Amino acid sequence: MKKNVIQFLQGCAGIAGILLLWTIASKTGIFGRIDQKSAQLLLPMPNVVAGELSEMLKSGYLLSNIWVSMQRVLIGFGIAVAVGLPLGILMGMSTTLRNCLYPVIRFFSPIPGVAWVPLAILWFGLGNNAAIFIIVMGSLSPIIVNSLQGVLNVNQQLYDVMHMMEASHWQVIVHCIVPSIIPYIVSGFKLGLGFAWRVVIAAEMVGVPKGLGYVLSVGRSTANTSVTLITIISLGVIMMLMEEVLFRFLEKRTSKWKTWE
Amino acid sequence: MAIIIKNITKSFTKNDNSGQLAILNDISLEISNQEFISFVGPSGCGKSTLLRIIAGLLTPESGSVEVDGVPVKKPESDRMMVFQDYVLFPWQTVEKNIAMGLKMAGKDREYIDRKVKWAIEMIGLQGFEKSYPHQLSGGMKQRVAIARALVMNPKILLMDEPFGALDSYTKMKLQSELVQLCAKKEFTTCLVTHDSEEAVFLSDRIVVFTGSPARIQEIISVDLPRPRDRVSKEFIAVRDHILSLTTSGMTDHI
Ligand SMILES: Nc1ncnc2c1ncn2[C@@H]1O[C@H](COP(=O)(O)OP(=O)(O)OP(=O)(O)O)[C@@H](O)[C@H]1O
Ligand SMILES: [Mg+2]
Repeated sequence: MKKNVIQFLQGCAGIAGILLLWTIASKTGIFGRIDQKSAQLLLPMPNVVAGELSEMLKSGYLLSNIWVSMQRVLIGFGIAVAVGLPLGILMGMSTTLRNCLYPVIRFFSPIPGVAWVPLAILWFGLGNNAAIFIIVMGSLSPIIVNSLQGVLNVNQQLYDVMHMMEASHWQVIVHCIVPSIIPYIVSGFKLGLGFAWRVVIAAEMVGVPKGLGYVLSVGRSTANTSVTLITIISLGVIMMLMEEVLFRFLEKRTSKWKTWE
Repeated sequence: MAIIIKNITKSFTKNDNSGQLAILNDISLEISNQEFISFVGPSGCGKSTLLRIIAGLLTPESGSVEVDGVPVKKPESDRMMVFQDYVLFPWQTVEKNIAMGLKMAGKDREYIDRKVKWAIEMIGLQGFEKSYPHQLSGGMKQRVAIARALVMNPKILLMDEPFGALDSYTKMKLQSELVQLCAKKEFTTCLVTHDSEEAVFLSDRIVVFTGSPARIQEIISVDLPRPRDRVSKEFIAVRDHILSLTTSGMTDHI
């Protein structure tokens, strides 16, 4: 309890430090690199940005665009999970399938999701579908690779136990494979969701209308630095909330499963 | 059930793929109904492999295993195996672990509950029904593993060094409990062990293997009355005989 409080205060100190650094940089024109006047424009003070933020929140502009990006991420990520999870599990179970598909996945996985943007825009036009396509391409491979890895790491002796109990294929999947790979799935999802956000921002910045990335690029083209800063902060907050709420919960529940080996 | 092992041969591909490594060479053995038989021999000689073949988890290259005249082709739930490292399901509680096999077999709830309750009492883990494996000691986990096998009412119990990782006090306690279980004459037992005292304490017969590839060196019948006295002269004589067989040749290298 006390430890937590101290940790929390230390975290706050870190954030305060950043704000202080920001203020100094703004006041000194990025440590003297630019003159005072343009510093007000290029790196506005935190309180100016905060004012702008409350404006954007009031008008609903920020939240509605976050919601647009979020929807794209959820749909794209959902598709990636729906395809990637069963595929990864099946690849783990069947050597033939694994040998056929693994080279393909190895080829595609290092390609950054953003690289699909031009094709996606050509194929799907400037809209949701393009964004969703890019997200799927960007987040599919960590999901497949992690669930595959999970299946390959299932304790072989658990299979022996299942077989001795004359379990069916389906029972082996439900009672043995799925629970075994949950820790792997969680880290796959984490990676996948991270990629999904990165990729959707990039896609929105280069042309897909609406969304956080779009706000970011509008901020840039209208030289409104506050907007750019606000977008960056929003992204950080969203990612952190996702970590804390979703994954911390899942990891806490499954972390002890790994310690049994 | 009686087990007849006929001319079993098994080899594995060597790690460097340079060819086959013969593990079991023409092993034949007859185990009668409700007998308690132990396999001892040097590490790596193929005892676990033989046990897995009897379980139906591995197929031999040649030869066969017959249980009451029926050839073993695949694992079946009336032959249950207890593994050296427990192999419990870490995400399930003690009672769920024990119930697993019954659930797979589609038994009804009431039957499962009754069986699990019986098993928990038998292994003395009342109060730990809702515990997870990582909250149990090694000896408790091994009890759960044994209970999980026994609730299936196996006709054959295969145990691969079940007490190998336990301290000697827990080990002796579980050995005595096993003697009582076996006295009920419900199953045939094959036990792999490194512990010659354990073998003498538990077995009707002890099969001593020689290493690579494994052959049967000698089969020793133990005709002492149960429960056996670990410090009696006869007990020690048999134990020492096994020790001398399993350690013969060792001193040559030292
Ligand atoms: N799946 C496998 N693939 C290749 N070689 C194997 C495999 N399983 C076992 N072996 C080899 O077969 C030999 C016998 O193994 P086994 O586990 O049956 O020995 P063991 O008598 O039970 O030994 P221990 O007493 O140490 O448990 C060993 O040399 C081992 O390396
Ligand atoms: Mg072994």
